This record gives sequence, structure tokens and C-alpha cells, in this order.
Amino acid sequence: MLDLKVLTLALGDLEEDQVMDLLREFTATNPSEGDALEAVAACQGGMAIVGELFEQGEYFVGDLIFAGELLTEAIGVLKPALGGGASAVIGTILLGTVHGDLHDIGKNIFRSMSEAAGFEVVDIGIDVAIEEFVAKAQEIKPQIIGMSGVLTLAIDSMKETVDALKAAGVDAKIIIGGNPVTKDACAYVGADAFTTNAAEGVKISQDWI
Amino acid sequence: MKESFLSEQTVEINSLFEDVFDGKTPKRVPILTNIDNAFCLEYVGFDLKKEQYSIEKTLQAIEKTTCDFNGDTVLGITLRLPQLYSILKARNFKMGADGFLQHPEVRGMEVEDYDALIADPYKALWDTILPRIYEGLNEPSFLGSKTLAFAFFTFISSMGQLENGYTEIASKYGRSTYTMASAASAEPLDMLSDQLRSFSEISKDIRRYPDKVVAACEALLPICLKAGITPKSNRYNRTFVPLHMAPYMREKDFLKFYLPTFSAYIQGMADAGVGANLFVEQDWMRYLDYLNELPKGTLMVFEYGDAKTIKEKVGDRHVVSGLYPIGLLKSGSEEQCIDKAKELVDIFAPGGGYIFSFDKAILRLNDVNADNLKAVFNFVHEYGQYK
Amino acid sequence: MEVKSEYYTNLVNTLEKYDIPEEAVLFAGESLQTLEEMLFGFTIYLIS
Ligand code: B12
Repeated sequence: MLDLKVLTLALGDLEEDQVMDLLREFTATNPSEGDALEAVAACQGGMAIVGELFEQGEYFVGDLIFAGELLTEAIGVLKPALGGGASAVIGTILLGTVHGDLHDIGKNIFRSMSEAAGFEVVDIGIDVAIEEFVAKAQEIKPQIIGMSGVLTLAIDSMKETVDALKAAGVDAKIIIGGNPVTKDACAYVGADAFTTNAAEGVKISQDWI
Repeated sequence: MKESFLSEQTVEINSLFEDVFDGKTPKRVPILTNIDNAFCLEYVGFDLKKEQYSIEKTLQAIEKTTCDFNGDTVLGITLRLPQLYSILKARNFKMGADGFLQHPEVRGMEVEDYDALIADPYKALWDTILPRIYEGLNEPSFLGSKTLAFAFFTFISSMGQLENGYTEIASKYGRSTYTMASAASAEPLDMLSDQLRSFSEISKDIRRYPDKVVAACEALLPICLKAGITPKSNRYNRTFVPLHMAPYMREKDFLKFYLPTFSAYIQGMADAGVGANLFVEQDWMRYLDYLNELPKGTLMVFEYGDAKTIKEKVGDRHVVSGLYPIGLLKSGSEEQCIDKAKELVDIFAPGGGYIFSFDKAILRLNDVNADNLKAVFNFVHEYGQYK
Repeated sequence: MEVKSEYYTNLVNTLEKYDIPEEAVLFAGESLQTLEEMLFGFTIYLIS
């Protein structure tokens, strides 16, 4: 029998071997789809622990990256047992790095953490043109739009993108993230929230839903 | 550079830096900035997609910018050569739609390359790693050699042309001939992370292959030292060391993977009489005590942190710098910008051991309001006088 | 500084490799070894 608490803690501790051993033993027993979904939830619980430890300054960005990798690996092992079943989606986030900026590490961290928190994330990549943000937002009607950037030039791009979204009547909440983002920059851009901390970004998004 | 070639004003500004690095109080707080040549090109109205390819145009832009802004050094560091990346078909530096060169997350080294890197890093670079990053090196027969010949020549001739140009501009406008980076090299773990394994992969490697990471850093140390100590390096012609991975690691990982070869590198340079200019990127506040133990007189340009704590913890032994937020230069009023400069000078300058600088590299014209930048330079010149 | 590598040649080995007579050491050091050092500098640039 898979001890879900042990699995959650092992993932929270980023104990890769232990997580993988637990899951391999588990899938060898031909679990039902329901049991597999519980295992997924337990892994996501571990990810929430990682987020908390990150906010408390116990973990750092490198640990978040490893945690994202671990979660992907874990779900990969569970996939055959999952069948068509999917965990409940609590909301949709449209996410991308704004035009002029080619960076994606921070964006990818935020994606994997918000997916673990139950969001469906539509990631439209890097150097995303304004029109692409607008068109995609109109198509999928996300509750939340996340924008990322590493260089200071991203601030102007974020502003242009937000202006265009508003002009097109998109009323999703907008959160911006990445190193150059500050309170002043957030006001300048006209976003609803900002953060340089992916875990905090997930919390803000959860509060919005 | 022999002093007899330099204008009187250049000699005088050079002496501000020399005093700081000799542990003496200079006449005035010197200013050492990290401004990209792209800023200069845009400042004079050039288009990155065109003039950026020309060393001559780049120098023209740098000259005009240096002339218009009251900095202490030549403004505009030319680090990236687009023509070189084109010749090499580079994957690690790509232009965005506006022509600005950036680094997407790519890697030149795979996990299975660790053993070769540990055995002979210089060989592993040329055998496997560089050809992964620079696709032009893989062209068959003579074409690959031709690419390398073109690239090597472009590098040597462009760098030579730039160096001469900078010295001329410095002398013409009475600016210092010292720069942030007389030479430059990352420390071992960052060298392994930046272009070889990448930010994301190294974060996994330290958990999955800890011994290999440690061995790779040790193998890279002599490479870093050789790069950091050139024939012209000394206490004033210093080596730029941008610091990357440490703030993204837990302290226990930092102590195991980062600190040992980082401090050996800075110590090795100091033993050879070479000063290090550390660009302390991201937030290092939890590591200040370790920074304080580095060889005396190391320059530390901080991106984040509390100025008072920094001055207190490392300001006695080292030269502190940075923290001025370039974001304020973009959105603040002139008065706010000057107040901020005053605040930092008041905390950092007493007793010497301070060089004025920003928290981040200024890359593009739109990163700041140019008038604010001018005002802050002028203010530091006046207000930064030691009596 | 020297690095130990199959692909890096120090001055002594450079002289041997190209069969430079003793009286030309100084001059060959300048013209030949400088190239080795420049290539090393170029290598560092490529991984920076
Ligand atoms: C590592 C690094 C590099 C590496 C990149 C390695 C790689 N694989 O990408 C290398 C060595 C290649 C490099 C090169 C350069 N760099 Co650099 N680099 C950095 C450094 C230290 C970290 C950047 C990084 O990847 N962070 C990791 C990610 C995960 O952090 P993050 O993006 O902030 O994301 C976090 C949060 O913000 C949040 N988040 C991010 N996005 C989003 C989105 C949403 C919606 C939410 C909710 C949250 C969120 O989640 C993440 C986790 O909490 C920064 C310093 C810094 N303080 O950021 C400088 C920095 C970005 N670099 C800088 C510069 C100048 C350069 C160069 C231009 C230098 C040069 N002249 O060549 C080049 C090229 C620029 C480029 N990168 O394209 C400057 C940029 C200055 C500016 N004006 O913008 C910085 C800020 C350093 C400085 N203080 O001056 N760099």
C-alpha cells in the first residue's frame, strides 16, 4: 500500500530516489485510476511544501527547478495508471515571456508550480508578440494572465501588452513576474499584481479564483 | 599604459581609482558603471539591427555618449559581437526582434561529458562543447576551419580595435583608462553553469551527480585563474567576475559546490597581485560573512541588499559599490534620483572604500531616463568630494 | 599561468614543437606563444 503522507513528505524533501521507488512499487500493483489520482494529489501536496519552504527561505530557486523536474518525472511514472482521468482544474492561466525578452527559466518555474496547485496553464513561450497575447486571451478566456521577463526592457513590453489587452476588452487579472519587476514597475505597467517569487505568485492566483 | 601617453585629467581620475584600491581615501568618490554599448548605439540614434555590426560606428556612439555624460570611465562596454555570433552560427546568443542580443537557456554540455571535462577541460571544450554551442564549427572539411579562422580573426581584430578606441576616447575626454573589466572570467561553478550545463541543469546536477560537479569545478579552477590573470592584470587593471548561481542555492549547497573553488579563484588572483571586481548579482545578504573573508580590497558591486549592513559587514575590508536602482532612473523624478544617490553616498562613502555604481547593467536607452542619469553623475561628482 | 591540456602548448613545448633554435627563443616566444595565449583568451570568450 502506498503511504500518501510519506510520498508527500518525500517530494517535499526532494528525495528523488525515495519518490521514484515509492511510485514504481505503487504502479507495479496495477492501481485503480482513483488511487493513481490520489498519488498525483499527494505529489502536488509535496510541491506545496516545497513552495512553503521556498517562501520561508529554506529552499531557493535551484530547489524549485529540481522540484519541478521531480514532479514531472513522478507524473510520468503514474501516467499509464491514470487513463483518461484528470485532476480537477481550478482555473486557467495564460502565461508567456513578453516581446523582446527570450528568457524562460522563471516562467517555467511558475508554470510547474501553478500546475501543481491545480491550474491549467497555457504557456505561449518567449518573445511573445502583443497581438499573440491578445489573440490567445480572446480565444481561451483565461481568468489570469501571467507575464514574465528577466531584462529591464521587459517592463516597457509588459506595459504595451497590458495596454493592448485592456483595449481589446480582456478583463482577466494580470500578474507580472521576473527580476526587474517592482511595485513602481507594476503601477507603470498597469498590472493587478507583481512578484519576484513564484510561490507568492501561485498564492496570489489562488486568492483570485 | 604609460602615464606619459595620458592627458592630465585622465591621470587624475585614474588616481581616484588607484587610491581606492590602495586603501587610501580618494579626493572624490569615483564612478564605475556597467553600461552596454547597445545603450550608446541607441542614444546616438543608431539602429541595433544595422550599426551594431560595425566597430567603427560602435566607437562613434561610445565617444558621443562618453562626451555627453559625466562618468569617470568610458561609457559603453562592448561585450557581445553580433558578427562573431553570426559567423559561428551561435545558439547561445540570439537577437530578439529588435536586434538586442540575448542568451536563451541552451547548454553546450551533457551529463555524459563530465568525465571528459574533468580529465581535460580545455580539450573537452574544443572536442565536444563548443561545437554544440556554435554550429558553424561543425561544417565539414575546410568550411569548419574557415569558420574558426574567420571567428578568431574577428575576435582578435575587433577587440584590438575597441581597446585602442577606448584608450583614445579616455584620453580625449579626460576619463579613466581603468574599466570594470580589464579581463573577465566567471568563477568555476558559474563557468560550469553559464554556458556549459545551464542554470536549470546545474540545479539538478548538484543533487544527482554531486561528486562530478565538485570535480568539474576543481578541474575548471586553473582555467579560470589563467583567464583571470593576464600579462597586463594588476591591482588596478582588475578582473571582472560576475557571480551567478550562489543566491539560487541553499547555504549547505553553496558551501559544498560554490565557495571552495570561488574563494580559491579570488585568492589565486590576489596571490598573483590581481584585483577582482565582483558583480554580486541577486541577493547575497546571507553570504556577507563569507564575502568578507575574501582577500582584502576586493571590489563588490551589489545588486540587492541593505546598504548599512553591507558597509558594516564587508566595508572595512573591501571596496563596496552598486545598489543604486536603475529602475528609479527610469520612473523617478530628478529630485528622487538625486536623493537616492545622496542616501547611498552618505552611507557608503565615509572612510573611503566606495565606488559609485548601479544595481544592474544599463542595457538599452529605454532602461533609464537619460536626463536623470546625467543628473546623478553630476551630483556624485559634486557631493562625493572628500574634505 | 599554465593549464595542463593536450590542446594547450606552453613555451617550452612550443619551441620543441616548431624546432626553434636556441638563439631565436625570445623572438619565437613573442610571435608563436602569443598565438597560443590568444586562442586561450578566445576560448574563454566563447564560454562567457
Ligand atoms: C544567470 C544569469 C545570466 C546567465 C543566464 C543563464 C541562463 N541559462 O539563462 C548568463 C551568464 C548567460 C547571463 C547573461 C547575460 N546577462 Co545575466 N543574469 C543572470 C542572473 C544572475 C540570473 C537570471 C536568472 O536566470 N534567474 C533565475 C530566474 C528563475 O529568476 P527570475 O526570472 O527572477 O524568476 C523568479 C521570479 O521572478 C518568478 N517569476 C519569473 N517570471 C514570472 C512570471 C510570473 C507570472 C510570476 C508570477 C512569477 C515569475 O519566479 C522565479 C522564481 O521565484 C541575473 C541577476 C538577477 N538578479 O536576476 C543576471 C541579469 C539578468 N543579467 C544581466 C545581464 C546584463 C546579462 C548580459 C546582457 C550580460 C552581457 N552583456 O552579455 C547577458 C545576456 C543577457 C541575457 N541573459 O540574455 C542583467 C540584466 C540587467 C537589465 N538591465 O535587465 C542582470 C539583472 C544582472 C545585473 N544585475 O545587471 N546572465
